[in-house]
Amino acid sequence: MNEQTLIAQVLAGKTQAFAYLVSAHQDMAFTLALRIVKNREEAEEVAQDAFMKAYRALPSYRFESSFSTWLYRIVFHTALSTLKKKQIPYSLCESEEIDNAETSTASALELLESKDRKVLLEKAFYQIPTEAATLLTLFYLDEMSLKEMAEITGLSTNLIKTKIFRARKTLLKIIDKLQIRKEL
Amino acid sequence: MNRQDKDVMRRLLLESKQKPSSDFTLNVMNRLAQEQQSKLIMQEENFSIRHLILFYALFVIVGIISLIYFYIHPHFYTFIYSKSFMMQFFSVVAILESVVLLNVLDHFLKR
Repeated sequence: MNEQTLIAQVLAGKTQAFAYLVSAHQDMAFTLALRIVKNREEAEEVAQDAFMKAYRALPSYRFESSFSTWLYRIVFHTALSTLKKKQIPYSLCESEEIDNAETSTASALELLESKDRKVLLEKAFYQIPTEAATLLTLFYLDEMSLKEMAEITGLSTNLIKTKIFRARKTLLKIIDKLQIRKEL
Repeated sequence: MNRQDKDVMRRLLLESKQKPSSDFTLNVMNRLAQEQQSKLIMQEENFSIRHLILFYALFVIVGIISLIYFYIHPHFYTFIYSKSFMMQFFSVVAILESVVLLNVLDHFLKR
């Protein structure tokens, strides 16, 4: 059953159809929330709140963008509100020497060829600035286009492109650092 | 960053994809059901408030019409000032007022 049919069913009052939409998008919504709030319990709360908001706002969904883009925009803004309540700033750390980082993906991956690569990656995502983690998640994990990302974040496509480039380098640098610290 | 590096990055990030708790969907659906239930209760409350307002409005309208009627037909004065009529009239008013009062109390206690 495709998403349009499911949405139509939900709008027709068949609430149970919404469960299919939730289970189809819960991983990505949760991952995105986690990248922003950096806490599993809070991320789960944010993702649940976002789904509730999506349900309430479903009658206003006009099928202009894909359902996932629309939903992730809700997740993104819900997570940002959580950060705002806790007075945590959401921005990409510009002060790091990102441009001088000599890290290459290949070498970083080589270092990551271990059984605890997943743990290392998760640690890296907890250290990376929130905005960088968000953009990388949207771009690589959900394979969103720059246009869709612009729709979610409200940034221009050119700015997103630059920020992704910097975020990628920051992530690899953090992975390198974590790996070196571990070896020491 | 070349295409190969980008693929590597994608693979890396796919490995970092997180899963929420196993009862995530169930929790969302439960919250949804709770919300719908409270919405239903609220609708019922609004319905009873509407009834209450309507009842009072009718009460006032009937009162005004009676006053006008009594004013137009002064001979009714003698009737309405009779003891038996006053007794009956105030008993009915007292019963109706108690019903309305109980409804109001019930509404606020439910909150």
